[in-house]
Amino acid sequence: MNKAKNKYLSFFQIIIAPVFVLLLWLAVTEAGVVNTNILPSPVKVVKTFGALIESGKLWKNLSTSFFRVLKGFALGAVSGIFIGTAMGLSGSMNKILSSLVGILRPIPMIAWIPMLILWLGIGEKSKVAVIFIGTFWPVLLNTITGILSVDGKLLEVATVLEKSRLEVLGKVVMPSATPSIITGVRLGFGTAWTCVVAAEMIAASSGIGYMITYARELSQPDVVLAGVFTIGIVGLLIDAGLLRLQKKLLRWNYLRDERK
Amino acid sequence: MEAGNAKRNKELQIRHVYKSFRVDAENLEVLRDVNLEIGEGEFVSIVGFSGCGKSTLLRLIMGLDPVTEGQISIGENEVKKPSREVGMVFQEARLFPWSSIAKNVEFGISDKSLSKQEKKEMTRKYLELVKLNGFEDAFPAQLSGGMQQRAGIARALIGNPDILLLDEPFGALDAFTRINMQNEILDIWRKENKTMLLITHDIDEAIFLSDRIVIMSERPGTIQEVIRVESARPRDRGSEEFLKIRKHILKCFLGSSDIDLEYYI
Ligand SMILES: Nc1ncnc2c1ncn2[C@@H]1O[C@H](COP(=O)(O)OP(=O)(O)OP(=O)(O)O)[C@@H](O)[C@H]1O
Ligand SMILES: [Mg+2]
Repeated sequence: MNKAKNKYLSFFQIIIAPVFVLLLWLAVTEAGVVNTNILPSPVKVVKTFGALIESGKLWKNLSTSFFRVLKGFALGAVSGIFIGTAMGLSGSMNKILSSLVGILRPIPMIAWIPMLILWLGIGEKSKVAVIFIGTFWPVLLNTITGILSVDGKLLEVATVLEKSRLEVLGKVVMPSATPSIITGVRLGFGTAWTCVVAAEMIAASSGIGYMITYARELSQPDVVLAGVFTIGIVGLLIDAGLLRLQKKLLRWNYLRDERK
Repeated sequence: MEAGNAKRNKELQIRHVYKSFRVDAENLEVLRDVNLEIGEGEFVSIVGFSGCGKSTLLRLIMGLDPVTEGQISIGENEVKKPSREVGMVFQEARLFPWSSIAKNVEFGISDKSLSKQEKKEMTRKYLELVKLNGFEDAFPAQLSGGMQQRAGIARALIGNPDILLLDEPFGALDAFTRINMQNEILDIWRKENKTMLLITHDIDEAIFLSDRIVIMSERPGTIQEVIRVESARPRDRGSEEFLKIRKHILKCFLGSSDIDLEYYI
């Protein structure tokens, strides 16, 4: 009884802020406070959204962006985990690479795009490269942190049992680093999604970012907003999915919370 | 039950061992001139004040830390690094939180020639020994502290070391489980003819189990006295000899003030 009540309350708490914003938006547009050529009413945006789905336009652009993300993300995550593991395990590797990481990492994504377009052209490759870079950093940093934070006391258990280096890596270091690595992967997917839109807005002939820029050129704010919200919603759904996966894969890591 | 196989000599020898740590650019002397010989198959306990260097001594014997001075050897070989001949039950359970209890215990198996099935069977046997059957698939976080500690003991036993070092293994257990575990350890010790070196804060436990009890002084830890317990096992915790030894050990700790002593006994 109490539990059910709590559930309703928490649902209410989750939706209250978005609902409030939506109502405010509806109110100002309906009351004519703002110019609907600049800020169309939510009803209009929803209608446009429906039309975009119906015409297949949204789906086509979305899937183009999504597959770009997937390619760049996979490359970025795998190399981030590999290089991060190497840097976490070997002190000299860490020293050799850390200055390079220190210089390259603070460069904002957008700054890479002109260079990448020069090198790789305006096609798929440059976009995948942008996403790769965006994914790589959070995965790399979280992998290094995860590997370095392995509990020395647990390593001693393996030392006492004279386990091989490979076994220590597979059975102690990697499992203990996994929560941090997965956090990195989640953050990486988030940046990947941001990067693809940025790259497409600068130069592309398809994709959700392209759809938004093109609509702006045609002065269609409803399409722009529909695109923007699609990005938000897809990002939210992906992160929720990854979080679920994380909780399932790493049940042991959440047991302490369950016991409370 | 004498398992007198002509094995390699496994006598543990600790000769003039000193250990200091550098703490904030100052030397902290923890062990001073420790000398001890433990014969094959002997059961020895160490008692002493908290912080006197007992765990440190075990780490030296294990080869986890280097001695500052002196020498520790097993048989002919000087201890330089950990070896599977020596097993260790740490003061904390130190289980892998991501592995099930069965997997944690199985991690202690060092014989690579065993098949998966044999490993499983062995794991089952040792889980039963520490009364954790039924918890194979549980994660450490789902077990009580005492249960975790028992899993740690099973993991050390399953590797079948010749010398087993136990750092307060029963500290987290309730009185009944503790007595149970003491009997189990005694049983294992007799059956498998292992050398056991146990650190404990429980004087009764030391008397109940050991051939010899080593009393360490406060830091810097030195061996203050070694007491031999002669009576046959299983020992009666209420026997006169038991109480006499108990009184003697307490005296070592509390100084010579007999007046207070009666109160503690
Ligand atoms: N790695 C280390 N660096 C610095 N000092 C240490 C280190 N390990 C232990 N010490 C110091 O050595 C002393 C003895 O520690 P040790 O853990 O051996 O005590 P103990 O006898 O096992 O105590 P307890 O019964 O409380 O477990 C302590 O003062 C501790 O602070
Ligand atoms: Mg200790």
